[in-house]
Formats: sequence, structure tokens, C-alpha cells
Amino acid sequence: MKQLADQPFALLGINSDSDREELKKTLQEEQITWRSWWDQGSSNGPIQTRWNVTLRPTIFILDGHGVIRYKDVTNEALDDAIATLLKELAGQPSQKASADKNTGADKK
Amino acid sequence: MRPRSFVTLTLLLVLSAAYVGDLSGDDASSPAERYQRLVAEYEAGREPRELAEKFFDLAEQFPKDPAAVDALDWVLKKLRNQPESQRALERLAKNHLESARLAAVCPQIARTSSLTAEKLLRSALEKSPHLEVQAQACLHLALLLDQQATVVQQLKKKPESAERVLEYYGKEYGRHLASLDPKQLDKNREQVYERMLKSFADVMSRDGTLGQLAEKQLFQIRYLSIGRVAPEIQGQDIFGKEFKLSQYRGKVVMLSFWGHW
Repeated sequence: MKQLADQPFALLGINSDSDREELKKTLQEEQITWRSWWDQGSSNGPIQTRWNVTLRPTIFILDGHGVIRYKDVTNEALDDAIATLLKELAGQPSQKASADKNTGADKK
Repeated sequence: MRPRSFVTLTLLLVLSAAYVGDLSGDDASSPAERYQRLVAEYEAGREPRELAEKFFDLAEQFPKDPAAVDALDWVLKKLRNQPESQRALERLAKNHLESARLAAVCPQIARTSSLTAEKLLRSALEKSPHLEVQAQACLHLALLLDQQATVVQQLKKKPESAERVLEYYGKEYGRHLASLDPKQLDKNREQVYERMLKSFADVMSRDGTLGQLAEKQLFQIRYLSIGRVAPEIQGQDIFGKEFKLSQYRGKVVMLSFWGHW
């Protein structure tokens, strides 16, 4: 993930741990620098419920327009997915993302 | 009565009783009892293939009896990916769409990986006069389509798994799955879940009502499928500061649901 530091990329978490204070310690110990929502301290929190997440880890990759492009990819597939979307982002003229649902953006 | 006629009469009665006994096979028993007896034969060690014909005969002979549907259900269960299953599906479609007993067979129909199965569930949903059958057909059709969506997604992610898919589902159905357009499939799923919400919302299922299931699945299909704009997320981070997903528009975002327990 280090090589992504200069890229328009963000890793965001949704965390289900019950103890917030313990979690802060965990972040320090494991040097987790990326931001997470604390989903009310359980796996039934509002965000997880809304996203219908039951297994962990669950991963979604969104492109620059906020469109879901990949789900549950790991290892090389994950790296490839991110690389592909970054290339796509770099190749596009700068534009304000509008909430369009079915753009051609979902073509690989 | 004079002794000779008495004897003749008795003889006649005994003989006719024996004849009637022969006519209905080894029983004057009900279709349900005959069904049970066939099941017992299977459990005693008979090969399902050998018994299949008898189950089919039972269904032919007593088309209006629930035991007929049970008999065909048995074939679906014990001869799942065999030609006999196809035959059972065809019989159900042809002769038993009106049966109330069809509700109990819907799960097994869905498990029979074939286009015929999908068609049968759709027919039952449209044509059955029984609400319970319609509801079960709707539910299991939805679950079947969900399963197709999972396979299609898997094939897109890992095209090399195509061979395993063909092996598991058989060539015909496997090829059908490989040919499905994910967007069209999602549209079909959406339609079925919309129908579920409209017509069967109050029907109880394992994890709540069908209405609840439909709403959950519709949300997922409409907002959490690949190609859809992700729903907004907002809340506090671990340090209590509010932030939103939409703040990150213009960046590639990886969302990771995680936790320790």
C-alpha cells in the first residue's frame, strides 16, 4: 500500500470491534493509519447491516465516481483492480463526479 | 340357506376377495401408504434407479393425490442429476401445477440445476391457485437466481473456473450460466423480489418474513451490485470524528469491513 501514498487512493475501514479504547490501542500497535468508521461496536452496526455484510473481511473497490467495481478481491486480483482503476482515473479529463448510475464507467 | 349354496356362496366370496386383492396389487391401501412402502424398499437397500419406475407409476395412477407429488419429489431428491429428475420435473409441470403439495417440493425443484426447474417455478408462481405454493415458488425462484448471480460473478472474476462449473452443473446448464448477462440477471432478480414484496410480504420464512427478505435483497441488487453507485456512508471514526464516504469522490476507494473478536 505504500506505493499508493502519492496516488488518488483511499483505504477506508468499517470496524465492528466493541471496545473503542482497546481499538485505539490496536491501531497504534498494528500501525494502522487508514481511517475507519466505528460501526457502533458490533457486527450488527448500521453500516454493516445496510451493506449486508456478514463475513469479514469483506472488500468493495469503488472507482473515482463512487461506483462499485469489484467485490471481495484479494492478493494479485486486488492489486490489479486498484491499478486498473487508478489508470482509468488518470486517463480521464477532470470532472465533478455526478451521481449517474449506469454510465459506461463499469466497462473494464 | 341350503348347505350347498352356502358353500358355493362362500367360495365365490372368498375367490372374489382374493381377486380384488390382486387387482390393487398387494394392498387395498392408500396412495400415501403405497408411497411409504416404496420409501421403505429404498431404505432397505434397493437402488434408487430400480425403484424410480414404481414412483413414476404411483404418480401416474393417483394424479390428484398429494402422494403423487411426494413420489416425484423423491425422484428429484434421490436421482438429482440423472435423467429421471428431468422426467420428474416434466411430470410436475404437466400434471401437478394445481396441487397444494407443490409448495413442499419447491426447495428441491430449485436444487435441480436445470432450465426446466426454473421454468417450473415460474409456472407455479403464475398458475398455482394456492397462495402458499405461489409464495414458495417465488422464494425458491429468487434463491435460484441469486445462486446463478453468484456463479456468474465467480466466472467473471476467475474465468478459469469455467471448467469446474461445467463439471458441477452439467454441460447444458453450465453453458447456460456462462452465457448469462449479469445486468439482465439482476433485472430478473429484481422483478422476482419485487413480486415477493408485493404479493407475499407477510409470509413467514426461516429468517423473518418474505417482505423483509425482499427488501434486503432489493437494496443489495439496486445499490450494492457491481456497476452501481455505492450508498453513502457516514458516521464517526474511531476517534469520534464525523466523516462521509462521498468526501472521497475522485479517488479510488477500497472499503474494508473488518474487526477482531
